[in-house]
Amino acid sequence: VRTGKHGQPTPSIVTRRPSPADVVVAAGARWLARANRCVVPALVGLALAGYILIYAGGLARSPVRSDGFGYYAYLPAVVVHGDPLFERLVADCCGGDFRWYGIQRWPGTGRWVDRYPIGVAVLVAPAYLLAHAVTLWSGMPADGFSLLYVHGAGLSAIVAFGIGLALLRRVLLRLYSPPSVTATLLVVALGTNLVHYATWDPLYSHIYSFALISALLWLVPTWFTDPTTRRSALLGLLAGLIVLVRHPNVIFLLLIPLYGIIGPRDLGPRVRLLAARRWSIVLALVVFGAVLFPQLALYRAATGQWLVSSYGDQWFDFAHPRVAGVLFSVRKGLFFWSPALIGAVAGLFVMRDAARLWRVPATVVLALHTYIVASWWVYGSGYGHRAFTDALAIAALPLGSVLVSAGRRPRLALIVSALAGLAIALSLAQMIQVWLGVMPMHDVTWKQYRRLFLRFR
Amino acid sequence: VTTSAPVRSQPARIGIVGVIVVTAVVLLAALRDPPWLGGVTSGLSPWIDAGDGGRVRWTTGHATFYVPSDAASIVIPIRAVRLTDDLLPLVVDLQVDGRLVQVVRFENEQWRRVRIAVGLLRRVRRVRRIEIRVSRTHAQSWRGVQLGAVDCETADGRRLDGQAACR
Repeated sequence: VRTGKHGQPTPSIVTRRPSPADVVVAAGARWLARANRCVVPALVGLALAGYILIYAGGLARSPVRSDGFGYYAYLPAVVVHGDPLFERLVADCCGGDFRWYGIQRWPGTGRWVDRYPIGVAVLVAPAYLLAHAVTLWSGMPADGFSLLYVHGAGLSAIVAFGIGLALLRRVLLRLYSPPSVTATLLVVALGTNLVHYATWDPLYSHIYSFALISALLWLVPTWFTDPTTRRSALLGLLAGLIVLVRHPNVIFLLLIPLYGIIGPRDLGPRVRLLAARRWSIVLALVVFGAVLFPQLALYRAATGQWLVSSYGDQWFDFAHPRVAGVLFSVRKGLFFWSPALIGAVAGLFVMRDAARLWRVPATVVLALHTYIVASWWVYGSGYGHRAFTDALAIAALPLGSVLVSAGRRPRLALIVSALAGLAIALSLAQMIQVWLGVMPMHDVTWKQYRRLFLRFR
Repeated sequence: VTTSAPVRSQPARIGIVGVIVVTAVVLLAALRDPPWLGGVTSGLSPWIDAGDGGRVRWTTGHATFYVPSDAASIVIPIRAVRLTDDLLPLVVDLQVDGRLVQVVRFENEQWRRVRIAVGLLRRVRRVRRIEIRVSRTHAQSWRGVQLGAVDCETADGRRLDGQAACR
């Protein structure tokens, strides 16, 4: 307590006129709080507008292309031709030969093997089946690739985008105030390549992985609170789908045992807790196995083996991970193309209160994921580094902490808001450059990047 | 901070279900034999310049287009393009509304003008679905199949230019 001129005590916190920064930040926080309920519908509307622009505007011909064809091919093979081994599909769609590296005849058996797993097709199947029924009803070409099929499947990505964001919003509301949650969702959705993989490449696996991992983040704390039979089965289902959509994403399942661990002293109690819940875990594992079984059975039918590397001789090089390349390079660097995510790294150091329960799992999983991504041979074309799109829901957790921390200091909040706004604007501008064909989707050089910077023709 | 979803009343639920059902019925009615179906194609590339003043488009293994159902006959210019000089044939099945009407066997790159008397077939919708299925018996021998502009005529010899996929 300070003393005044006449010795009387004066409070250390005095009422003062709010600074312009206080006023702006308070107004921004009020706006973000009000926008919290409508942020997900607004982002879904924006993605839908982008999808319409791409396909009605002629920027791309069909959502079924490149890797997306490989993920999609199971649907016409099974629904239209009733043959998951592709013989009838290849005869019908492609004159007897896919002429594409993604689906190849397996040496030894001579059967077709799709290098892309069945998970995306499983998740898209409801929309595809509806499209098939309406196609038959309308008299449109029931070949598995006509208008309703491909856009039924393509629009499933917008649904996944919306479900993923809605679940992530719920996860974040457990940890942060509504204004911080709104800001985090805006940065994750618009400051990264998330919209691109919901619209331009809607049949790649990444947007589905994002949605499933958001669902896992939502479910895990409730499972630890009360592991009911339903929650345990749902945990197994989500875990199975995460692996079914993209096999290396099995590492994201580490979030389950690591949730709530803050330091080494928590490990023993955690092991004892999991042992006490062994029957819930057995149930989750049974469901997990049941979800994976169709994929394993398909590998068995096509190759004679239950477990195969569908990528053949293309494999991870764990001895030589290119960490700097995948994080910082012009070619595909995560932070180069999505600089807003630097905030997520900073956030790992300021996760407090309830968010601390996610600090160790998020750090471990993001570090492992980076190592695995950096050990892969190449990540083809696309916008930004698409392997990290899967992990954006996890990155949102520390990102929210950074925004909460910044929000406590009005001037810092203004600076962080301005940086986040710039990062979002840059990310959206570059995404549109990619859509317009101005910015190449792969092997961009620094010279090329500088020449094309913010050019739209 | 947690949020819970607002509980909807029974009439509100019935209203939502009703709106969904009505929307579905209206959509299905609009999608039954729609007038724009004639403009739909599948398994065909955009038109490209053939070099001789005409235009062609490539087919995939299964191409579909539509012609007006009042056409009595159509003529489809079609040819196969080689990759190699061996003599393995390429076979094209032509179907109208799902019925096989003609099989064309290609052993060279000559254009064929395939005439189909579609008027003899039962009329199902306002347009007829023409499907072309390509079987490259030896995939490495053939690059693919090209189609030219389709000529459509009614029974009294009137041309149907500009309707559905007609020239």
